[in-house]
Amino acid sequence: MKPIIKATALSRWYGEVIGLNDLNVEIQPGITGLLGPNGAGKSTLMKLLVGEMRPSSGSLEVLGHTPFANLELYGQLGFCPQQDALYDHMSGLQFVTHCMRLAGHNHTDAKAAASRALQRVNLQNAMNRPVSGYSKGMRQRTKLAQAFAHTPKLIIADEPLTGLDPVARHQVLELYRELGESGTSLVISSHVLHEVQSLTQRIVLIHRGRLLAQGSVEDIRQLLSSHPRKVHLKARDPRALARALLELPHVNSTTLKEDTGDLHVETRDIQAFHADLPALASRTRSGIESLESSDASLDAVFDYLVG
Amino acid sequence: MLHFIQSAWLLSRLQMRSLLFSRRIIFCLLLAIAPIVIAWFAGAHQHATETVPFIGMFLVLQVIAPLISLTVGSSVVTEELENRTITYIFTRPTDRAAFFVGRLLASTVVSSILIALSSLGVIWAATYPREGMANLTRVRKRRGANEMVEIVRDLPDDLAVGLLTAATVAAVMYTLISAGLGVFFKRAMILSLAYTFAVEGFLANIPGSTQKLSVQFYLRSLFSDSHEMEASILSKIPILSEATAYTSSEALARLGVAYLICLLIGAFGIRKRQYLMTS
Repeated sequence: MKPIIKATALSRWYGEVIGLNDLNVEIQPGITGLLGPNGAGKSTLMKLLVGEMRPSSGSLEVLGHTPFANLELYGQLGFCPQQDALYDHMSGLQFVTHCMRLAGHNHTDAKAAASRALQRVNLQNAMNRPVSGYSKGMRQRTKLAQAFAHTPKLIIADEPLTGLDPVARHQVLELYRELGESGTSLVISSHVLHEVQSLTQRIVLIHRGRLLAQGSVEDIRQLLSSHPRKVHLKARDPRALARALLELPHVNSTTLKEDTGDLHVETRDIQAFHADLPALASRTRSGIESLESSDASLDAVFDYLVG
Repeated sequence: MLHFIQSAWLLSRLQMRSLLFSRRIIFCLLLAIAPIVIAWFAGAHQHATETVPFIGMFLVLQVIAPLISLTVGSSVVTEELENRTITYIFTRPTDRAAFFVGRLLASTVVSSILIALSSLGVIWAATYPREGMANLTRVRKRRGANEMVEIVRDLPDDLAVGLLTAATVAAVMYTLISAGLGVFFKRAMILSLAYTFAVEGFLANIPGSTQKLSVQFYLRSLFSDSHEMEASILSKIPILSEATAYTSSEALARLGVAYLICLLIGAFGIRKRQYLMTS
């Protein structure tokens, strides 16, 4: 299958700051999650994909086109930017209609398509009100509506779930799923794994401007579970607990901070650790007061993989 | 081509609406009123044929017209950039040049109307017939007592038309200069001000042919060609008396060529330039 996005040795610098560094990636049609912590280079890649910027070096093809100022590509592309920027004096309907008209549609068609798109993001009751009165979630959905109103082949969405409440988040994810099922390809960036996980199994991980990993969510989960994890504990008797924990085969080390009484544990198998801990705490009567696994986030995987 | 015109028109309307409800327009209105107020007070004591050339030349053409045009023109590109709404335009199948041309058109209309109204206001204020003492001025006689004479309120039509034409052309030119600088530089307003009041101010006011490199030179040509320069008070200023090298039509033709070149550079530049927006 021909990739919808192909980056070869793609780099982008901002003066001396590296945004993307020698990125090689191919993305197939369908829904793809672009994951990485803040500052990983996701937005830089997004801006290159939609032709807001040119690469400093390397090449990039989107739907077979070089993106920068490519009008042919823009007819097949929808972009939902990260920034919370809209024309505040316009209503949602006027805004999406305006975007449609810029894409070459006549006023009647543009308005009809804009209305359909806004209904699809559940803004039918608010679409005639000025955007300035919208909540953040409504603004996010308006941006999304303008991205798919012209039924593009590919939608690129930069952190589209930011600022949405759980209900709106569910609705938007459902909409993305529908768009994906209808044959539209999507590239969605996020720094939260579980957001993307509910939408697609295919993810691209980037970190510090480089491709870190590409594959299914299971592959990434495997990476997450196979690397040592740190757990912070507070207990009435941390010494007894530390001694007992060291007897467990999956515990690598324990560190007790004398001044605070905090116990830091490193384990190779977090699930086994959680399974063994209650019995251990009961046996030693160490009185666990709190437990925190600080590196369960995606950042920890990045740090681990980067080494 | 049709899509280009439609897009330019759409973006022009958007810019017009945005300008008319912006704080810039209040600042520009205040600027436009300033010469009218000055002409009103000056007109109470001076002949309109002296007030209008002076205020027209030194205030409207050299200060107010550039300031209004630069304020309005600098919004052509930078406003969309600062609001970060440019993304919605630049990721559509719309020629980026249409964005520049459309927004420039709206800005030019707004600045031209403001400056033309300001010029008309100056003419009106200088020629407005006042009652009583305001209509008279005290003239000192060499011998005998001073006497009061009536101020002549008439203004030759060609002088009024000359000011109106030169002011409108100034609006068109300076709006483009500011918009064009906005295509290539972030601080379009500051650069435009520096260009207009430092570079042009220098070029236009030193004797010699370097004056021809400034817009001001052609505006002076337009203005001074419109009335009897030899009889005008402006003829007493050496720099201005040299500014009659071109007739109105020659000055307009040269400015027209310069305008087209700048327009093409702006339209070409916006197609090629990358605009980095921080998220």
